[in-house]
Amino acid sequence: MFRARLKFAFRALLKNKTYSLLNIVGLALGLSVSLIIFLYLNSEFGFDKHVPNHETIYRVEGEFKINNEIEQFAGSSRALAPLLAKEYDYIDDYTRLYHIDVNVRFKSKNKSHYEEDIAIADNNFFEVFEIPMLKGDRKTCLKEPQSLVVTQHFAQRYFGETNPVGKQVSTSNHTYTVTGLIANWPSNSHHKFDAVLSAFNDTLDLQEQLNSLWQVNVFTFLKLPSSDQADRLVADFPGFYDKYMRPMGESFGGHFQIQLSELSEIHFGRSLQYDRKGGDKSYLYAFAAISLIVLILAGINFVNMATARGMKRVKEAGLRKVLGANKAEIRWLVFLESFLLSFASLFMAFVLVELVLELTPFNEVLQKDLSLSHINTGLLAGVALLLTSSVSVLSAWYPAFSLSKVPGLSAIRGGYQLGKRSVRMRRILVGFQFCISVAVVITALGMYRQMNYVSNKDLGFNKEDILLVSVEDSVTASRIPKIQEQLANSPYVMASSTSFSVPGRGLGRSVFSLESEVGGLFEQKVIDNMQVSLGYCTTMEMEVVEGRDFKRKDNLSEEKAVLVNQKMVEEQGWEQPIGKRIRWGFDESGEEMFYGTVVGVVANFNAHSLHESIKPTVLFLKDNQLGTFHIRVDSEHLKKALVSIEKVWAKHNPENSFQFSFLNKTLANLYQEEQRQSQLILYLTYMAIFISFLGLTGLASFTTGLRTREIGIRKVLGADVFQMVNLIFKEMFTLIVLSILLALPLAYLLIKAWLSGFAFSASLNPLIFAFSALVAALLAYLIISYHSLKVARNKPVDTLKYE
Amino acid sequence: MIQLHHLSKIYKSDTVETHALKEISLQVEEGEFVSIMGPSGCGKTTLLNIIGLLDNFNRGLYIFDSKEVKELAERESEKIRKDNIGFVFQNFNLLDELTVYENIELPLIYLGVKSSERKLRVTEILERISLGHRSGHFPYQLSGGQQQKVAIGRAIVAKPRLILADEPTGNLDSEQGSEIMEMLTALNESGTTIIMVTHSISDAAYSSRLVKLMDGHLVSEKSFLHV
Repeated sequence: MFRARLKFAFRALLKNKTYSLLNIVGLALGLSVSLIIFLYLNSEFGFDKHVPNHETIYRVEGEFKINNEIEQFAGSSRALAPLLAKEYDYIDDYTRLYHIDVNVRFKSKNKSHYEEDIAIADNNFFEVFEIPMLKGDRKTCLKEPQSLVVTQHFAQRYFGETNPVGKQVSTSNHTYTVTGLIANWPSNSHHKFDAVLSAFNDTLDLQEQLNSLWQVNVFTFLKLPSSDQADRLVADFPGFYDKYMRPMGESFGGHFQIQLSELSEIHFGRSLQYDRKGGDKSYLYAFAAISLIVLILAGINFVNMATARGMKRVKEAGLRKVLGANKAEIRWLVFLESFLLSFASLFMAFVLVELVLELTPFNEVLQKDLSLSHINTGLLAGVALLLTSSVSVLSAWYPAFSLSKVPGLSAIRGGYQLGKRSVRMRRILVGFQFCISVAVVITALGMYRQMNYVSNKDLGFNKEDILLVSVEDSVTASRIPKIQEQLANSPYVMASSTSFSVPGRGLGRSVFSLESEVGGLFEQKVIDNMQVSLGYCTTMEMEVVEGRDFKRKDNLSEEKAVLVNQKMVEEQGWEQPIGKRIRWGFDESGEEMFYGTVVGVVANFNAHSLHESIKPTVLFLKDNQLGTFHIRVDSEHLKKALVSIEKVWAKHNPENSFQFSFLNKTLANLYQEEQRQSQLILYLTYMAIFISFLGLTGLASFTTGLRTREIGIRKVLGADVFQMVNLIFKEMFTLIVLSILLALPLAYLLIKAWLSGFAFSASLNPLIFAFSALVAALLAYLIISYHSLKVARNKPVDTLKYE
Repeated sequence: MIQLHHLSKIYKSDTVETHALKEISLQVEEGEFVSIMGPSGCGKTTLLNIIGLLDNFNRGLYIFDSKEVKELAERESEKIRKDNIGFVFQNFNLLDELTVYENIELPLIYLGVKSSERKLRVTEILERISLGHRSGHFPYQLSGGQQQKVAIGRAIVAKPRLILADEPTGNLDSEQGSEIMEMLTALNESGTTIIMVTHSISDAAYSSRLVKLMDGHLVSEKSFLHV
């Protein structure tokens, strides 16, 4: 019996190939979007859970309090963990990690690449994290200096498929031996790397350790037996502070406390300074909602098509009844067909997902490694089955029950019409679909505009064509002037300067005493500051709007020259900023050590990401300093510039390899998450447009189908084609206008909410709204016209016969 | 007015060719009242549809008012239809959501007649079909005979020279039927050409000429003499 039913259902689907295909494709698209987002969410919520013992690993985060301002840092001092472990024996183990966030060139034989994701770690790193090694020994792999543990990715680049262990790679000044191979570090890791160097050697004496406790330079991970112990450590820490840190803290009015975050909770945790890019769970919930909406949109088509087809099958249902089928029998048939269709869609969805993930740059764009194979099969099957069955049951419900009620004889004779009531429902559903799609389109356009704005906004400096080279030791720092002199001769280098901080990577914040407008009175404030060397404004192409830039003789004068930004002038209420005095750097007695005078005002510039507003900022001059060497190069000849800089560097600073990054890329990374979101929304937009296009097509052909007879009569009476297209459009016009009107405020709210994360945002251009609404209406008109035309063009005799 | 020479119509499906009309030759002069009779499926309605430019044909020649129809563009045949031909169907084909008045008005709208004149002409028609008191009713509120009167009213409101009626009394009882036939006769007497498909000998008796079809062939023609 079941076989017979299955055969009937199959035949019915084969008979209506176009209908079946449209149905399958539409639903498959919706399902694949849901599946991909499910994979995405699964990956996001699984951040760092691939580390086998993530529940026992805690990151030490620091809370510095200076003059009642709290600054929270994700990193901590490299001296902290060894002292903590010595003090508290319930700490099982600790390990530290440092990310080299610059391009390092590695060479092996004839292969050479710039590597971006290199980390330095304690020799027990892989043991504490319990990472399985593919090759090499976890215990000893980082024991020897100049050891290197690489991921498969890294190994592939230099050694192809051969075993990398024992092979060597070198930078311009060091040679490393590969001692271990691990699987690629998953993209859903908060701390990511392609290779890990052994480096730390704790040769500091106690006093040096104590001095460095107030610094933030590494990420510290503790292995604790349980979360109770984590709470205990936080509670115990004041004792540690009193013992090791208080004397120094008191000298400048500071205080320090640690916080601990479990490894898998770091990514979505508090936003901290010096942290890797974190995630925001609210976005994930938004994505989940969107995928549900896309699925509903696709489901609506499925329901609508099933209903429309049901209406055409009245005669068949009547005949079956006359031949002895009962109500249940007919319901069975409809449900079975629906199940067949939705499972065909599910199959197609899996194929689509696999194609998208494997053959398109989707993963690359989202910086993910999503794959169907990464996920627990049972879970995936459960989700897929649940989604598919609900769609098939929901969509078949109405046609199944209404067809089963068809009175046999009158259905055969004709004239029995099914579900005029359902027509209104269908319209509402399609209207909803259309509304959502228009809203999604507008939102995507708004997001796109903002991302454009972010990458093109005048930041107050020119972020393009700047190379950043980090200067981490005083020997290198002392060589910079010589290097600068040499670079000045290169036609490809436009300017260069050193600064302690880099826009987008966080500035220094310190306490300053600032002269008031009246003069004489000094007020203490925590202010953003940058130590820069001569020529910084020129290199960055920053504008000095009042007074002057730094001069060489400023270095020699007793009273230091400082520059402030316009925001500072505004907040201080300085009418005459030039000549105002600033003091900073407090000695043990609390007296200021440095005196400065404002010599110029620079135009406001965005030293932080555009999520943050511009803050008052002080720039002071310091040559031969540590920090980052900024080099502006000729963009037309980037390669030549790199070669000439590397040559000069190797000549004057042979001990350190030339490692660099690009300022514009550093800044772009600030918006990685938003970039990713806008990409994802863009993909969803294509989907939504396509799906609602299908929906509108379905409704248009259905509506014209219902009115075939009327169209025929009107045509016989002399109506022309244009008049009939308008007749049908008029009927759907209200629906379309209404859905567009609803979509506009919806889109407005969505964009507003998203933009609220930015301190600087593109204005909401009403043209986007008007344009989208117009295009949507036009598109709808075209679709409807197409279908009305098809019917209107028929020979009237065919349409009259249709009855 | 109408000349058909060796006209054939073939329906083709994947496997079967059905010859609906075979080599039909027929002439209808202006002012004639022609009945077409024949058993079900003999091609009567097909012939009527072709004459009314609602359907096309495969072979032969059809000349309407000295214009060869086969070569006309869709737009031109639409125009001929609009200006010259009114249709009356067995099942009335009134639009359910329009009132009697609006149903009759429709062809005038499509002809672009001004609203003041439309009103005049529709009112005149409503009087002629004695349904003035029903002008605001919807089709389903009327009896079959009344509905067919409305359909005839709609067919003649644009003053066509030719009326094509497909079993106009087929769904009516005999009393209503003869009323409709009286109306058609009166129209014919005032100069309108009428071609009518019918199953009823008594209806055919109203016409001036009877054409019989059988299996797509024209088998006989016979003139009635009216007194």
